[in-house]
Amino acid sequence: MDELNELKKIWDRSFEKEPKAPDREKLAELVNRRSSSPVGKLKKSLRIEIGAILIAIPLLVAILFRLTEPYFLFNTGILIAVFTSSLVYYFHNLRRLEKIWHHSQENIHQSIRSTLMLVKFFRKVYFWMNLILFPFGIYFGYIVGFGLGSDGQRVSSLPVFENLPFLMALSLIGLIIVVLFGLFYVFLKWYVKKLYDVHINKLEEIDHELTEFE
Amino acid sequence: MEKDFIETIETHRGIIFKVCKMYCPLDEDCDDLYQDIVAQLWRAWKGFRGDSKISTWIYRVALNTAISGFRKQKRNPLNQSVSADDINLAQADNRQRKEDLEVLHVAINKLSEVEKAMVMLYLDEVSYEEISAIMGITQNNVRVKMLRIREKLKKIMELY
Repeated sequence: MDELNELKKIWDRSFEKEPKAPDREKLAELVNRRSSSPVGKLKKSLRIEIGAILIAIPLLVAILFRLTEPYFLFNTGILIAVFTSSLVYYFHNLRRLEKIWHHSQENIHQSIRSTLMLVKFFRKVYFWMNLILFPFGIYFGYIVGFGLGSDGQRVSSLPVFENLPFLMALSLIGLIIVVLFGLFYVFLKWYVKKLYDVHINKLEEIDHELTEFE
Repeated sequence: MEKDFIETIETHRGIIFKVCKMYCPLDEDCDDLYQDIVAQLWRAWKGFRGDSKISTWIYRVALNTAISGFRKQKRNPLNQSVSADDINLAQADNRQRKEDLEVLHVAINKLSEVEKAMVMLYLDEVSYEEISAIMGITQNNVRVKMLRIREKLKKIMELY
């Protein structure tokens, strides 16, 4: 192995001098540093989602006190329930991620496989949760809010719907939801691809390289 | 526990330093990786059961962090003419040494993430058995890969 031996000579010469011992205080600081690994990035994404939901829930509660029509109460109540369930789910997954530091102790192949599975799982979670929550959060209030008030009058936050025949207004809202769902689907596909697929492709490439002669 | 950990890091700093230089030849990227590896080692420290050598464990955690970390390099050395000042693998103090470092730098950059790990372990005189355990592949696979790496390096080094 001449080439490797030649490289080894250069390598050994390059590291003849021991690197300077790291400052103890700096090391103590480093142990508390947050990781920028893929898992660290997943945790960051989850924290952002949790933060957004934590802001949304009090706002919805505030709406509950302002709009006292029964079905606004009903609709907002459902939204709060959905958001709270998402929050619990996100917290559960965040806790799961906090516990997987042991991946780094596995051998390279196991660790790549575990990380790959995890990133793929979170790509799905991130995609579907956002795909459901976004149109649901924005338009659910309008859909269910659109209906009859306690005194038999139609109630809607969008005045344009109040002047339309019931079925037409309902169809229009349905159409808006479908279009928005479609647009959001395309946007999310692109965003999730940009966010996770680079990592997934790279991990798959490494996994393939490791196993090609197994 | 923190005291023990810091002492271990000080003792084995050479391994972390080599992994950093292998994956990030530029100092600014290297600092980020170094910090990430130490943070990751600390997180994993509680789980170290001592069923492998401490050096093997450090190699494993450090290489895992470097390989799956996907750091964006501030500058892509492959797209640049290589300058020995940039390499700075050690304090190069003469022309021959600078040329050597340039060869090392170019050779390393032509290797894949997996190949870099294997070459580093080989250059550090880690046995094939240990390389196999760290990488999670069979010893036969290690041999085949080393042969391929040798071919690749031969081509690269012939140019110099």
